[in-house]
Amino acid sequence: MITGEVKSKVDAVWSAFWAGGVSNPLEVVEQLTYLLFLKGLDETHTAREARANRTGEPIQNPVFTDGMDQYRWKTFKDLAPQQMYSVLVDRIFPWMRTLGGEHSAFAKHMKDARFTLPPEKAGVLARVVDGLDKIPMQDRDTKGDLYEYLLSKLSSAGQNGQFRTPRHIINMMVEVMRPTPQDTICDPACGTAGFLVGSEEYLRARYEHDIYSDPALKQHFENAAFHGFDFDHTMLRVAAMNMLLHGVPNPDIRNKDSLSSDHGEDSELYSLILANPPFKGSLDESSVAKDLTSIVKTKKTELLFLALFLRLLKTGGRAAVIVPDGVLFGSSKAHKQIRETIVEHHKLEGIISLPSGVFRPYAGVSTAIMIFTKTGRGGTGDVWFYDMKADGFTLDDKRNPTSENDIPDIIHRWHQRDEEQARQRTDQSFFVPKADIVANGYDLSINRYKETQHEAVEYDKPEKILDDLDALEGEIQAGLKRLREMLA
Amino acid sequence: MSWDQVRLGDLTHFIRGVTFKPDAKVEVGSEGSVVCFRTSNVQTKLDQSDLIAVPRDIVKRDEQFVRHGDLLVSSANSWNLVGKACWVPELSYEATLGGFISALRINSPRLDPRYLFHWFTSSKVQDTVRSFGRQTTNISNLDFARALNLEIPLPPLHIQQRIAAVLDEVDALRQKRERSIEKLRLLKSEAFKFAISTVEVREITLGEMCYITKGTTPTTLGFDFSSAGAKFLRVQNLVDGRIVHASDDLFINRETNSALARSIILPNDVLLSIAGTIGRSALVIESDGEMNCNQAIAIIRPLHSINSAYLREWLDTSEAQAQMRGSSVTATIANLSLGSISKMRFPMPDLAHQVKILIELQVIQDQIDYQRASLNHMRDLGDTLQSQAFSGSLTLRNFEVAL
Repeated sequence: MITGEVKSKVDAVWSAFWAGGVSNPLEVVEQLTYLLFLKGLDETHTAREARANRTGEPIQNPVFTDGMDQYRWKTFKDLAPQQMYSVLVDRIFPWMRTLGGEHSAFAKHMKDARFTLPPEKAGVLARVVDGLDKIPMQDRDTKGDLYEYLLSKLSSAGQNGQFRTPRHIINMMVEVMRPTPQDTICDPACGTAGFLVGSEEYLRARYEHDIYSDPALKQHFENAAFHGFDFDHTMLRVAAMNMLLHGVPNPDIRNKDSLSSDHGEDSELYSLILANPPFKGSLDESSVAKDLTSIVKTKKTELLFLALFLRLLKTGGRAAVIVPDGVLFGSSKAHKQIRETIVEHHKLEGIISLPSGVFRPYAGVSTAIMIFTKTGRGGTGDVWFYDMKADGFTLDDKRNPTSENDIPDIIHRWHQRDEEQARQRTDQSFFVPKADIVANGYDLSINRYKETQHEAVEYDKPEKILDDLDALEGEIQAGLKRLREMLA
Repeated sequence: MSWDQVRLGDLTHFIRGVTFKPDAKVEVGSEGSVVCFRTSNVQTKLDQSDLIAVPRDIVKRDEQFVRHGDLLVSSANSWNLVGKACWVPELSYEATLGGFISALRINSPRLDPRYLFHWFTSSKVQDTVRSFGRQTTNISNLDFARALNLEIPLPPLHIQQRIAAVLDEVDALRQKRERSIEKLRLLKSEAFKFAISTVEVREITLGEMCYITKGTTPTTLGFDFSSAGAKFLRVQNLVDGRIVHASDDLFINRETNSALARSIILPNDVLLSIAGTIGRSALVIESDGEMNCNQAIAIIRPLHSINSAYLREWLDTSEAQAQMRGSSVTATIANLSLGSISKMRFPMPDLAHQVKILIELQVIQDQIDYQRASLNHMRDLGDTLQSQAFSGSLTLRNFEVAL
């Protein structure tokens, strides 16, 4: 966690941008990301210099060569505002765009990076650089948390919130799936890489020693465990930076329109998919990847994403994904087909119905988490349903913290599923046998199976009601009489 | 008889509510807290069912504590609710008032509090106060200065007390009549329960036997309302099992109506409110004409074997209402989904018995209709007495008011 003091320093940098007229939060994050990258390059170079000094060898893979002193954060930060601006825009940016993947996965996405503060705002740049320099970023945890904090400002900022699944929901899904250091994790609509970062933190907290003491695991963790696709360049940069600051220098963060391009190279590669894909209605028939329509014939993005997950998973691979409720009960042929495919050909394991305020304030849709394993030969038995009513925040647009929170209970019950068999359909969680699901046309909405208990309200007996009516009538007559007496 | 007309501001003053941040709210009854009334508490009577509390030190001045006999006035609200006022009865707890309401407090012995209450809540004064409202974006604000410049007719104190006693009596009569209608509805629900316990009933879900859909607000699809055409129903049009028309009804033209074809309403449809206020229903009859509805109304269309009037009656029963409550999604606004309407368990005798039950219930329904007519008479009487009272034309006998 970052402290209040660091928070207010970050806030000050943020305000400097706003004051400078850059008011699109995503743009602010993007510009700050470039500056953080620049600062990081200097740190890398300094570490390599130190190593060279210790060993007496020449510096290995220097980031900066002779004559590039002005490009280094430590020199650059002390330049006068106008000079700082022109060095950044005329020299550093063109150079950063040529870096390629040499220093990190992030550099790959620098191709069309632009610094958008106008020249007359050089003073703002100087204030921002000064502010960034004051924020302590010694260790990985601080950097990661700091960046997450920056990104959290996106969610409270309208339009851009669509890119972020709330962090506590991500953590819940990660805790439910329990990734292992051997997993190859993919989010085909990664946005800011929240799911990958959540998985990375989970793995580090539990397996750090194992990962770093086994060269093969370390290699896998740093270069092959994390895969994220998106087709928005800003998002790709933000995602790569997010991973970098969380200590994963080479994640596979790739520019890819997941629903339109074929997946030959990626099919059957991943052992775990965590995702909250964007649902934006329907695509053009012509732009849908053929290998997806072979699984389900539809143009609806939410169904195509389910087909995509099945395509990307290796046999035995697991998925926990957020779907809009319509996927669970939609009655079109395609809706039924994809549900039937998951239930009959693979292994559907759980449905967690989320309360509809989870994605407020920018979407009030009703959603659920679908958990399944790709088997290719069926295996669905009893499916576990959980009716989540609270996530620790009010479900209105304010989303203030509250004490009502089902998340710990969900994680606990999911991992103790063998103790769940005795539960009734009136409980918050229960099992539904596959046969029931088939009998209900593969409907997976929890309301189809949940039984509500009506509180028996005791009403008065008719005799008593009639007595009351008589008494009231008597009072009404007496009142009318009194009223008559008052009026002349 | 002509009485003095005195400026309201010479007898009373307004006290503005306290402001606080939403996160300042504390548990009602907790140490150092005080109840804080809000707009939602200001109904015909002070509604004490949903109270919040704030720390006592938020109240800066002693006068911001509510007193018995104050009027709580809605002072920042949608324009049609500005000026709405209720009486503060004896309270068993300390209370202050929030920023969107104010207290109108008497500061002169010449004015009787109940007399002031009746005068301020009379339709004429309410209309006037509303018309002073200063509209900002979509909130109208009470104009305190102009309200205090209103002139109140001021008879001698004992006459004020008599006028208040007459109007209080009429109020009490109206409330009793309303209570008695409420009891009759309960009786009808019990009678329904009894009637179906004596016949053979198939227990089905509504979804098996009915087509169920809901409306859409045309503006979300880029269509506008028009001044004539098909009537566009909202929850407020569903009253007592029927569709009632109001002065602010909405209409949509033919083109919009066809675009919203899914929710074109037909005779014998049963309508049910599913958002905001849930559970109000109405039976559509031939003479209702062309209609469509918004997304807060579900249309239940029996396919066969169900008499629509019988279904409508059943929706009013405590059993059906409990099923709706059990499946409403409680968020900021209570919603009932079409899925949960489909799953409602509905007792279905054969058609002949459905009609028989309707006939049995008619006795109670007649009584409700009769009492509703009586209630309307009482309202008319109240309006007449009120307008006479404040124009000085109400003649009263001498009677002592018990204070």
